[in-house]
Amino acid sequence: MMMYALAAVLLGVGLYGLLVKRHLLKKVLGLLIVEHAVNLFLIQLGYIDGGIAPIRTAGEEAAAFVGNAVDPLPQVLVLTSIVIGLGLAMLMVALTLRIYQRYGSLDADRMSELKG
Amino acid sequence: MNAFVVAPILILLAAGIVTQLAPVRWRRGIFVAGVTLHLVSAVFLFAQVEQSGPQAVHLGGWEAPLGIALVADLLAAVLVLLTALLGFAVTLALTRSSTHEDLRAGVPALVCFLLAGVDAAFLTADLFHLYVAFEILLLASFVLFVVGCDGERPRAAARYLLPAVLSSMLLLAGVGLLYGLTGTLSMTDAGARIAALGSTPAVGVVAAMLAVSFALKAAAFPVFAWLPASYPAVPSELAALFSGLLTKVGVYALVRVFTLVLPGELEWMGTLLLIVAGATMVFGVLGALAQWGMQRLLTFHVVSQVGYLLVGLGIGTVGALAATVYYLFHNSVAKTSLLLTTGQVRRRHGTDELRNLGGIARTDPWLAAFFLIAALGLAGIPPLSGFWAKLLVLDSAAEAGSWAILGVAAAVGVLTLLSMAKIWTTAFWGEGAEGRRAGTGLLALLPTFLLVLVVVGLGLFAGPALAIAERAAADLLDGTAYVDALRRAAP
Repeated sequence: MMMYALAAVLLGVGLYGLLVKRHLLKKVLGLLIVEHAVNLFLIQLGYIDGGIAPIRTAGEEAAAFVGNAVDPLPQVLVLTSIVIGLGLAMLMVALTLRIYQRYGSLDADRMSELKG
Repeated sequence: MNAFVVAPILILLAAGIVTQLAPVRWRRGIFVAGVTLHLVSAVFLFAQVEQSGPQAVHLGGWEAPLGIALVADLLAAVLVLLTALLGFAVTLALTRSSTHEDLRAGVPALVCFLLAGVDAAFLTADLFHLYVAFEILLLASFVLFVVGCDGERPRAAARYLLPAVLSSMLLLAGVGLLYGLTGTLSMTDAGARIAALGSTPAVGVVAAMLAVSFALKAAAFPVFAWLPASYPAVPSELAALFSGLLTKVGVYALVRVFTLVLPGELEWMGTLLLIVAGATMVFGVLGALAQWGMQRLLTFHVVSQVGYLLVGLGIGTVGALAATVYYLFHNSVAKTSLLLTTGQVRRRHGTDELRNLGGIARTDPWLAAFFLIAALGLAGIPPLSGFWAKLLVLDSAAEAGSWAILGVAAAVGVLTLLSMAKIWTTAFWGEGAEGRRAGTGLLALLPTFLLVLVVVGLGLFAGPALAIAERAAADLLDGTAYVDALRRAAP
């Protein structure tokens, strides 16, 4: 339960950064924090307190294994999502850099003042 | 293993990789060849699905609950055909408009990957795979946004990217929650287990998260602002591709998920969807009317038309969903054609500001004629496709007794005509500012001509087209054909 609450807090922090902050880099960081919150939430779904890694060794009883092993699927999902997130993060940072080079400012409000 | 179902995606991925590896001077040719092959494969897929019902493939030989399945039912096949058609037309236009720099930066590969992502989103029967497909098309479209980096494009890219990523996160969290509830990611399995669970509050939360995420991608009210803030900045050919396909994938995801996985939730969401649909139509068209840039005006219209598409799901009958299917096809074709015309105008006159244009009908009669047909089609003048599309939406609204949405849709139809008249009277009619060259070349007009042909054809042969739309809608609501296809294809 603790960890779900942590994910919710992270989500709140990320959304705050994304929606309230005017600095574009802070918006990007907010979005990355939202991503981590979602990943943390997903990984909880398959977690069992005191569970074992979902790798079945020879001679291990099937019923006990299924009962104790954590669900590997959310881990796979999170892995995929982290990789996609990494690609997105690189693109967003590159874009931020390009915007700064071009307009000399990263202020989102000033960006929208200029006719866009 | 049914090769027809995977072929469209594989062809595009292969074409994308090959053009990127090839020397720059070969890229145009490989691009056109790949997209043409994709169109052929989409026609074959459509013919097969139309004749012998939905087709499925279990990727990697794993059966559906464990592995990922692709299913082409009639709706998916029609939409893959639409993707291929628009992709083909836009590719023809892009090969003419792309500079050496564009080719070097990889525009052909990016368009191929974008189309592959769109195809994958239409064909997948797995919720996580849907998220991945959205990310593929998002990444490809985002890089297309910044290629060249001229003018307003970096800024527009930021406005496009941040909401899109946020909606993807919402989708991912919603899919995760759904997995937590049902223990499966397969759409059919999840649907069966949700039906057994009944309409609990947790299911409601999942439905709300997915609906908001897809609405953001579809640019529905109240989360549409990113679209008119970003699409006007890209070249018209790319805007044509984005407007024709990207928001429609959001609408498709709404339709698919809320008929296959969460049909029970439509009961409380139906009315809400109709309100959203009405507001989307009104805000989109009012925004469009206020614009003086051709591309700006047309991209605002994308928002307005998404409203019409949502009416079908809000009402939820076979007739209403058939209207949505027909409307979606017609609207994407008409909108892409109009934006390709805008591209021609921009290139010839260096601007798409309506106040600086005039008399194109005299200097460039063919371009003007194609614009007029597509614009009248979009506005819904008989016997063009838009007339039947609007009639169907109004008819299904009347049948369901939703008089408010009927009134709004009719009024927005008139305003649509008015905004098309605004473009026509200022840019195409009246005194020309200057006519430097007479007529756009025939080859440059070909993509627009193809699409206009479809608009006219869909109108003249509305009967057969509507029959297909109705079958697609009936399959959607019934759902058994989709599940059967998965079972039949089981390895």
